[in-house]
Amino acid sequence: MTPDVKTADTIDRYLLRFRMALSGVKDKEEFVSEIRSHIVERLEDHSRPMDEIVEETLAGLGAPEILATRYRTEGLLERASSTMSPLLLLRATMRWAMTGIRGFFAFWVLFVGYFTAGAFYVCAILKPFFPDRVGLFWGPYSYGIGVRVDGEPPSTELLGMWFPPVALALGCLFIIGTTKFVRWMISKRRRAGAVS
Amino acid sequence: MAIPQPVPTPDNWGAQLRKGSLDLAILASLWKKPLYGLEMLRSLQDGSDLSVAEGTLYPILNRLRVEGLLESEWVDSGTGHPRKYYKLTESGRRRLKEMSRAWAEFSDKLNAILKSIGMKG
Repeated sequence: MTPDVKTADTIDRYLLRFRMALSGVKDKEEFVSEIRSHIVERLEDHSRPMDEIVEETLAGLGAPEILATRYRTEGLLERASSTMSPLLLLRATMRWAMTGIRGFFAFWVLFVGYFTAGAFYVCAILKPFFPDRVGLFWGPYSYGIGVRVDGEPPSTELLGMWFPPVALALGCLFIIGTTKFVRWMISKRRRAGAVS
Repeated sequence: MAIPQPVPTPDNWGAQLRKGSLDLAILASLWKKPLYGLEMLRSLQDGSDLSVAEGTLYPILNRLRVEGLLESEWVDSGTGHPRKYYKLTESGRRRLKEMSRAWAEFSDKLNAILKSIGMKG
């Protein structure tokens, strides 16, 4: 059945918004063609008015931006499951976080892991400039790793100039460990076939 | 034929159950022959009463294709527009068998519990 001008315009506007929302996605045109094919297929139903069918079909597909988000999330997670790029992982988990609690947990783990790694790197850089304030401090009144500020009780710094390489190594471990753990979470989600 | 939308449930349980079983139902609908999207929706609805929203099906099909469980092919329908048919790959068939086995074991155990409270005969 050939749609009338108004119906065709409604379909075109929907597909245009969908295409724009898919900007940058691989296989974008393939997805648009499939959705167009689906809408046209629904119009083969001659038992009801065409505008009613189109309205129902577009409602079933949902807002084009939300439909595109589903494709984008899957595409991003697919790429993220095999990447070592922190930025790509952050983008993917941030998007995943919007769809459910597991995604939020993955994003939280990634954020904390990378933040900790970043703190180790900053400490490693600061150590040569503030040797007495940065390091691994051990008793007698307090224990900890990082930067000490005025007013804290005195304690012994254990690593000295070994601190920067140790902090850099710990930073690397956190980056690698966090990345691998989150990648495992993403792969597990994909193996389980979860949709959120 | 209209595609009914999933009926909202008072809590999230029904939706989660449906989500969890969607991949299995979609793969199973392709066991006998390749289907295109709308055909699959109707098959799921008729065969399992599982009403899948149109906007949910296609991203899932794409993910299953990316995972290598499905293959797709555009075929001229003879009605003036092409249809995208999906079929199971060998890997998809293996995965479907594993999922079916796991589902059967799980439902047997759950049915045994439900039987004890008289909800399942």
